[in-house]
Amino acid sequence: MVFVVVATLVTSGIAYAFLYPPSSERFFAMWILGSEGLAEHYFPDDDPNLGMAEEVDWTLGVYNHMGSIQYVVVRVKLLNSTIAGPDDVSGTPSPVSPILEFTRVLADNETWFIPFAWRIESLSSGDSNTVLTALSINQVPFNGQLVSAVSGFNYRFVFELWFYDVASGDLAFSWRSDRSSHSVWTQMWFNATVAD
Amino acid sequence: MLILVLISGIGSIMSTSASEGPASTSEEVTASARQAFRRLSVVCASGSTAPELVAKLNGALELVQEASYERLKGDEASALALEEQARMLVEEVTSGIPAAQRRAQDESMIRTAIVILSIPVVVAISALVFFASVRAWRWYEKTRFFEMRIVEKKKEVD
Repeated sequence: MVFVVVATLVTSGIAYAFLYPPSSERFFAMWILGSEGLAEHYFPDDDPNLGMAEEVDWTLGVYNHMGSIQYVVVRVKLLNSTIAGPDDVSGTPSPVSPILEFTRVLADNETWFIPFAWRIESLSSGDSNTVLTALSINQVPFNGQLVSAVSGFNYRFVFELWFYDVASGDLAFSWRSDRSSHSVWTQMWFNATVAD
Repeated sequence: MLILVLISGIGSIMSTSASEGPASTSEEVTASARQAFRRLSVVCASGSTAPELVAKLNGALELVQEASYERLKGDEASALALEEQARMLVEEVTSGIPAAQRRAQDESMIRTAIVILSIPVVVAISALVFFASVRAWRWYEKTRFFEMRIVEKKKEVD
């Protein structure tokens, strides 16, 4: 009788451990790869000083390890060095509106690759500022006063990872885990000093 | 000061350039896609994966993306057609969710039943192994106790 009780307890313990394994850390990851799918050769001839119509080929990678299915949005923003970027400490995104978004539903442990081929189509130079006025991203034109930078130096593409928070019913940029805030973003700097 | 003016100017310029064209249809489809995802996440949380519904929802989101591209290129007609296709896909996802929910519940019940049934089976197997082991050990000891060996003594050499 004692044996049956002990055996039941042991079996139940093993079954519980099998059915409810300790939860691993929840996280998203995002990265940028260069033209050859590696973390190198991000610009033609490895020169971030871009000329007009120079094609830049990147691949964005997004990985979901949140332990559940996720609705993710990659927001692409164009900034210069003085516009505030995302803040990891406070978990706030850059205040700038995105020029482009990529959206997808990712299963747990799924990786998503996004081709991001772009080139500068038009620049205009003022007194000391160079304004990026036309871009092409994945063959789609983006026109307007997109962003300006002093002498065309230090533009940056910022890629922010947002996700749909089921609890709040809205997109969120940061999440809490282990009593700390987490957010995911990455950026790439470039110069555009060659004006028409 | 100049920088502040520049930042605010850029902010307003970018917000206008990024929101060109009518986005109400696109926003409606996106909103319904998010609602579909909300319900789908409940299904997936109960242990199912529903890959066909996830694939359809991703198809709808891609169509919305393509529609925004077409709108940026100035092709409003193509954008509307793509958004209509996306809306239909989202509706298919939404209508498929109750069946997926039922399937998830069934799968969950089967898993629970298997676990509950497996406990007495494992206990029975453990008891069987235990008693068989005890019996085998006793038999082994008994055979060793009654073991007879013929040991040949060496003859003493005078």
